[in-house]
Amino acid sequence: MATCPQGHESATTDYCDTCGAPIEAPRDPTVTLPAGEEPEPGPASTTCPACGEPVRGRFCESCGFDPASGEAAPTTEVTLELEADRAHWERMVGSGEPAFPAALPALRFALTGDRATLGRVRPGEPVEVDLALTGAAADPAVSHRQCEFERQGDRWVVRDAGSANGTWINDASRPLEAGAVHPLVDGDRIRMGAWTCLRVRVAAPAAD
Amino acid sequence: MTDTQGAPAPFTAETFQNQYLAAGASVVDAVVTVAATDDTAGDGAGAADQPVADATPAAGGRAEIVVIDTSGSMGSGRKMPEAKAAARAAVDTIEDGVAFAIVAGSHQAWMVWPNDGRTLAVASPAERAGAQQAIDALQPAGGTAISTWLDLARQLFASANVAARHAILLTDGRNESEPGHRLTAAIDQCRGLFQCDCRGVGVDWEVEELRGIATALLGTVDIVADPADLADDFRSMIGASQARALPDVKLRLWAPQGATIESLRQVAPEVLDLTTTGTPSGPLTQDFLLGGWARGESRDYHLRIRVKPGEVGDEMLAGRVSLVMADGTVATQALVKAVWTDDAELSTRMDRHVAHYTGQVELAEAIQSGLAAAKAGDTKTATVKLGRAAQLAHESGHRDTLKLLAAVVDVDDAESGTVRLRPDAGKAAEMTLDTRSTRTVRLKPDEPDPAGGS
Repeated sequence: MATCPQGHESATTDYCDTCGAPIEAPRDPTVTLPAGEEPEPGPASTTCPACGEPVRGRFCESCGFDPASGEAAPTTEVTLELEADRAHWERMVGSGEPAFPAALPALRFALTGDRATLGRVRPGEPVEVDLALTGAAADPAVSHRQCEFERQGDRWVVRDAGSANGTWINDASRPLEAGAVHPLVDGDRIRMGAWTCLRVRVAAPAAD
Repeated sequence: MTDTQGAPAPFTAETFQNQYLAAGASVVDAVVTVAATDDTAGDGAGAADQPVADATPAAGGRAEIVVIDTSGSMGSGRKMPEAKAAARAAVDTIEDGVAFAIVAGSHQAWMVWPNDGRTLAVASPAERAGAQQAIDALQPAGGTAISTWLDLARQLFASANVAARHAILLTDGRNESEPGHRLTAAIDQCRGLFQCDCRGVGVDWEVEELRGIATALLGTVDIVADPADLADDFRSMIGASQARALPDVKLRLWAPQGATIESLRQVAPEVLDLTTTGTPSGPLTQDFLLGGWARGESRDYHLRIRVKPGEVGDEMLAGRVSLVMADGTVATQALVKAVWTDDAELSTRMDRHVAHYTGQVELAEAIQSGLAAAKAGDTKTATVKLGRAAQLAHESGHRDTLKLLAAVVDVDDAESGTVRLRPDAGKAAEMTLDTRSTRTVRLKPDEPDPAGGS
């Protein structure tokens, strides 16, 4: 006979045979993250030397400055605009939780450098992605490492980064396969999580 | 595979689920795969699993009863001669020493063999020859009252002290000589006492009626559109029955106080809803009869339990599935867990086995409701439902069902579920599709996760 945390006498010794509570010490009070998602300490929050905004990823989200190289970002060619996508939500959730957001902050990412990862960041946790969805933009069904953008020659491609719920391109009926890349074209919609949609804007390099 | 010395456990069980629930969520889904260990190297007596159970020497042995429809309608076409050939083939297949009887059924049931006042014969060359002569003499006459057939089979089985009891029931028509509740009551009385495979010959029988008997009595149901195929079918049913070395297995399901078992379905090799068949075996446990198992056989079960919602961080055992042998020993168990989390990425993930079988159950329902709508003249609903069925069959790679569907509808595009009802679809094609709608395919191991996870 064992006794469970609720005080039930139990013939089974793994879980209480009355209420199902674990009888040994609870394995892990917090949810175990799947392998490979162990948060690593991210870079300390700094201030962008170029525009003074706080920098949490590799690049300044406001102006695209790269503090690591100390150089201004190359001319912006591709931007991603956050939208909430009703059709994607209908497909992934349909009803209930996570609910379709009532309002969204205006959020725009510029793709700079050669590579950028995008993911959701929980409040108070270190930022380990270059493009972070936080606060009201943090669709709970977006993975902490959702997808990666990579510059290939004069174009950018996106690939899924092993996300839980997939990265969907435009009206595809299936998410991107592991390892598959999609070259970004102006007007593309990259859908993920429960309702997140990133609208791709490709602008010809500004001549300056 | 085995972690004990000596005889391996007769069963293994494995759980597939996403144990993470969002705060406030209360429904736990899991697929449990149960497999009977393939122990062909054993002594083959079936008692190898009970090295110390010498208290049940009578637990061996089996009985087979073949019930043949001899109503007047069997006199049309080649039905009666082929049914007789099938019964003879079944008798040929029954191994020496197995108790058996042949029953003829119309608006009443009577014994064809043995015909000397004994309830069951013991198979031997002489008994087989006697049975086959008696089968040859059968003449079609009378109506159809299936409750009387089941009642007689039940009484015959009750007279024998054997572990495994199996019947084959063949009919060509509706149960039209008695009120429906009579049959329902007879089926209930037979539950758990024997297993019964049902076969309909021709196209004048009711799929729902035979499915009801087969489901309650843990047997298969199928159409034999061509009577010439009956003999092979009977032979293989008797063969499959004799291969079931582990009789009267039960699934015991424990769920915590305050929880409800929303559903328990066998989902492979075919859909069989067990939810309402449980009987309480303890304050928080129910037992579900699974019938006999062949060694090496495996079946999948989808269970859904509603528990009291926990706090984020809570862990709870939501279900304990145990396999209970005929002698009451627990062969193996599988655990179904619930862990509450505020990480929606974890809680919104759907286990691929659960997703796959949810689709397979929907496929069976889409076929059945589509055919019912077609029968009622509702072409629009029939087209939508059968289109959805084609889509689900295509997505899950269910080739057999796609083929059967194609005999009833023209599939323009399986991926989008675009179909047109075929005006030339024959009744046999519709009944075959209906009868086999519950057969499922397993998840392919290398299939990419539909949720896109790793």
